[in-house]
Amino acid sequence: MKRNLFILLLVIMTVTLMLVVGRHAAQNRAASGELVAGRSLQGATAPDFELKSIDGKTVHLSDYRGKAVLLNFWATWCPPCKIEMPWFVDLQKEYAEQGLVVIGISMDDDAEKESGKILDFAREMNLNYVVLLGNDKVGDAYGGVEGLPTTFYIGRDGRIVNAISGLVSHSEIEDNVKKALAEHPAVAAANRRP
Amino acid sequence: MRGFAILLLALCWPAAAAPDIGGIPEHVVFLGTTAPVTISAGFSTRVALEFRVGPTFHINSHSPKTELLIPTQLLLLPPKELTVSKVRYPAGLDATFAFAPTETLNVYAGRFIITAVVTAPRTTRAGKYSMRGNLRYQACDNRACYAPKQLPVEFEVRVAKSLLSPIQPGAPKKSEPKKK
Repeated sequence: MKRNLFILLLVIMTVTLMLVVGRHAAQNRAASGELVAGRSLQGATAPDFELKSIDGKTVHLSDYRGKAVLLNFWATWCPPCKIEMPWFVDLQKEYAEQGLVVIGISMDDDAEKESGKILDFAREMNLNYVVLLGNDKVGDAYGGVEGLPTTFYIGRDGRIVNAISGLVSHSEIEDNVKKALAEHPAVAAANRRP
Repeated sequence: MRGFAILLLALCWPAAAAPDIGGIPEHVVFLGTTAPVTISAGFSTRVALEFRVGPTFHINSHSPKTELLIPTQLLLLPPKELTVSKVRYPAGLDATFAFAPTETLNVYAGRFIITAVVTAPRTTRAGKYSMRGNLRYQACDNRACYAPKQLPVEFEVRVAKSLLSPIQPGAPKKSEPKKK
C-alpha cells in the first residue's frame, strides 16, 4: 500500500514538474522573439507590396530589387521599436552607399487615416529612411507580425536572409545588415544551384 | 495501482510536453467577478472584475504616461434591463524596462481589478442577466509589444425582487411642490 502511494506521488510530482518546465520554456520561446511565422519565411522571396509612404508616394518593395532591404515593422505605441530607430538611422547613413535601404512599416491601426500622427512621430525621431503606412494585408503576407518590432533582412536578390521579432542589440542588427548586403544575386543564385 | 499511475502519466504527457500549442501564451485572462453579483431591483452595486496579466507580460494602465500608448479600457455592454456607470481603474505601477531604461511607463502586471457600478432600475424583473463587454489592452514583454487586443468579458447579474414599494399611479412625486 505504501509502495503504491509512493508511485502515485512520484507520478504526480513528475507531471507537475513537466508542466512547470514546459510552460516556462514556452514563455521563454515567446519572449525571445522566435516567432514561427517570421522564421518560416526565411529563404523565401520577400512578398511584394504596394503601400503609401508618409509623404504620399506609392512604394513597392520590388522598387528596391538589387538593394539589400532592412524591413522593419513598428508602431507608435511600441516602446521597444523606438529604441531601434536611431540605430536604423545610423545604419542607413553608414551602409547606403553599399546598397542598403531601410524601410519602416507602421502597423498602427488605420495607419493611412493616422498618417499625420505617424509623420509627426517620424519627424520627432529624425527618421531618414522610407516610412510606409502598413495594413493587415502586408502584416499577413509577412506571417502575421504578431510582435513588434519585427525586422526582415532581405538580400539583393529579394530573398529573406533573416527575420527577427523583438528588440535585439545594435550589433545583431548590424550583423544581419551585413549578411543581407553580402547576398549578391549572382552569388546567391550560384549557391542555390544543386 | 501501477497501471493507474502509467495511465495518468500517459494522459498528461502530451499536455506537459507541448504546452505552447497555439503559439504565444495569453497576455491577459479574465478571472471573473470577485463575488457573485446580486442586486435588488431599484438598487445599484459596485462590481469588481478581476484580470490577470500573464507572466513576462505587462499592459499599459488606464492612464499611460504618453498619449501614444494605448490605455487599458473596459467597455461593458449591459442588457436593456441594467445600466453600467462609474468604471474605476486601479492605479498602475510606475516601471522602467530594459527596452526603454530612461522612460517610465505606467503599467498593470499580475492581477488587477476594475470596478463598475451596475444598476437594476426598479422596473427590472427578477432573474438572471448576462453582462457582456470587452477589455481593450495592449501588451508588451521585455523585448516586444503586441497588437492591441479585445478580451471578451462576461458575467452573470442576478436581480432579486424589488425591496421598494411599487410606484402607485397618480401618487405625488417627491419633488413635486406641495399645494397650498
